[in-house]
Amino acid sequence: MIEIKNISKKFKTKQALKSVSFEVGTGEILGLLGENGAGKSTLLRIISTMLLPSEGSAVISGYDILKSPKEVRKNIGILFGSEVGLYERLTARENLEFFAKLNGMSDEESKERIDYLINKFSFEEYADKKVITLSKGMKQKVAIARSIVHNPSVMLFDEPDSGLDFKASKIIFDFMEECKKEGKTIIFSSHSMENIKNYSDRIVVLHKGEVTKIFRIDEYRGKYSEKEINNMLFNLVCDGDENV
Amino acid sequence: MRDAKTFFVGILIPFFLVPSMLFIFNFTMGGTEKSIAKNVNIAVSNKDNSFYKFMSAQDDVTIIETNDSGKSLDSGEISSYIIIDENLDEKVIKKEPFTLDIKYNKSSMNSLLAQPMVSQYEEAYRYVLENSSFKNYEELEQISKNKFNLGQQQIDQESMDLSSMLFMMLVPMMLILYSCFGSSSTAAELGAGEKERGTFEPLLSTGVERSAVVLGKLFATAFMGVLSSMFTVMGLFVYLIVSSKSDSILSNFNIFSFAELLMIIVIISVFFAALNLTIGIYAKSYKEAQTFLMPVCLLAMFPSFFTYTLDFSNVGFTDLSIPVLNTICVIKEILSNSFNAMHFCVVIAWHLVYIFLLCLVMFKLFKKENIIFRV
Ligand SMILES: Nc1ncnc2c1ncn2[C@@H]1O[C@H](COP(=O)(O)OP(=O)(O)OP(=O)(O)O)[C@@H](O)[C@H]1O
Ligand SMILES: [Mg+2]
Repeated sequence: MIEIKNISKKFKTKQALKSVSFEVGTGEILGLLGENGAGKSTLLRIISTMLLPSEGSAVISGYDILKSPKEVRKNIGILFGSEVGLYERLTARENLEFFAKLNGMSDEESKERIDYLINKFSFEEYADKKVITLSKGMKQKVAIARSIVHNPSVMLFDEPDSGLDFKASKIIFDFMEECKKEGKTIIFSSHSMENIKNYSDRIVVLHKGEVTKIFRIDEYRGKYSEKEINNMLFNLVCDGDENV
Repeated sequence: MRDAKTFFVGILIPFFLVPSMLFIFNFTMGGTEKSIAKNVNIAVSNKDNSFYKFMSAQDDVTIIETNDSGKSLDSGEISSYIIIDENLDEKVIKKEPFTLDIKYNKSSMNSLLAQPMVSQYEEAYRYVLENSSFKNYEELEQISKNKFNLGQQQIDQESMDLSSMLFMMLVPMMLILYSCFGSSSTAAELGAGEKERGTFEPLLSTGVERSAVVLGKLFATAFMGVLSSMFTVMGLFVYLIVSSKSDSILSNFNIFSFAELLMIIVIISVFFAALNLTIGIYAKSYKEAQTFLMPVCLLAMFPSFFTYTLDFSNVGFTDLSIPVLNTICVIKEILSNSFNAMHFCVVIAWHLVYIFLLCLVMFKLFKKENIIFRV
């Protein structure tokens, strides 16, 4: 459960977020859509307590990001969009093990979970290779596994599909749907309209730091053709208006 | 221990550096000492005086005839050229002040080493004049024939002073340098390096306390620093055993001094690790971190140069609070076998205070988002 309440963020002179509010329920996948610099990553960073909001707050699984950031961190898993952020001299598995330990998992728990994730994301092949030798997409998969190694109830993915091929992308989103069924709360951002349309229950459109639209894609399907929907999304992202 | 390079830079170099420097130093000094021990060649401006006679009377001084004193000095034919007061004897008899101007070649080791001995003879001459009674040239001539044999003893003492001076300067310098340098690349790596590679955010987004992250990093950084400096001490120790010289400066270096040295080295390594890490965390990028860290090492080394004259028998508590300087004092005390438990403890206590303060600074830096996201 995520409740975002009037979050604003100002970097020196740049207003990155303006009074953003929305909620994401348990067992829901929310897609974040917005052009470059719209504020998606900033919002996810604030939710994960990496940045402090200038105004407003958010409550994650009952914990306020300002009052109990440590509890929040324990309950979330976040994939950062900018870089995979893996230790290159360690193997994929060692990276996962290290983060399992940081999150206070026991050796048994960690082994079981890591084997499960490696199998799920099908990277048995390179699980024991040094990260430095992996391709971009391979690293991305490992980074996603790393972000949720402690099986958090809230998962935040900033551009999880970046650098992934069709198959890898499908593996990841299928996994997200599974997690959703287990009652996880998921937010992901993406620049792929297809993935946003196919995998999110609701879509939040950010434009220049403001939420311009929150809607269910189902409400539009049937009413409009796929092409019209695409046009509408395009306009929302680029101009902040629907103009259907 | 991450890879071969770290191993080399962190351990092998510090291990062999001090011994090889001391070895080379002793080797070159050894030759020079012997050659002056035999004899000192000098030339004088005029001979018809009591100082000339005094110098001629000495066994280990040879007076050489030369037309061009400058040339002879340059070529090494003579070690000193003494310009004797024109009316020396006249002034001496009248008890008037006179001058003896000793010229030497500043670029020649032989000449430099002969310098103290020649000066000592000058002093001996003046001493003789002051403490004897004479009324005329004959009596003066008579007392000028006094023989001193300061030469040998003088040289031993002087060269020992020189080598102990170098030892006292070199060893603390190397120890300080390596306790600082040993952790600096790790600090840059664990601070700015992590930011650069984007591993910082995932690390901080886990449930781990930030203070635990800071302490973990400090531990890793300090480990490298301690390792480097410990191997420097070890190198020194091995050198002392292998060379097994009854060299008077080194002979009083025993297992206790070694333990004391290790303790002080560990604490200063942790201090430098904290300092380096603070800088590493503050820096935007690995490169920037290196730019900041380089001068730290140089600055840390610097005090060794001007403290070799420091008389640490009367260091005050304020002196003992200055980082690096206080460590050098204590290291010197240990090396010269004048270990002072009080100083030692005060210095360790100060370091603990500094380390604690630096940790607070790091905690603070970790809370600042513009530091953590300075990319
Ligand atoms: N640390 C920072 N300091 C200053 N400005 C920042 C910082 N981080 C982000 N910004 C600014 O905030 C705005 C939002 O950035 P953000 O990274 O959230 O965008 P985004 O929606 O994730 O874009 P993208 O699709 O390119 O990832 C941008 O204008 C950016 O320049
Ligand atoms: Mg982004």
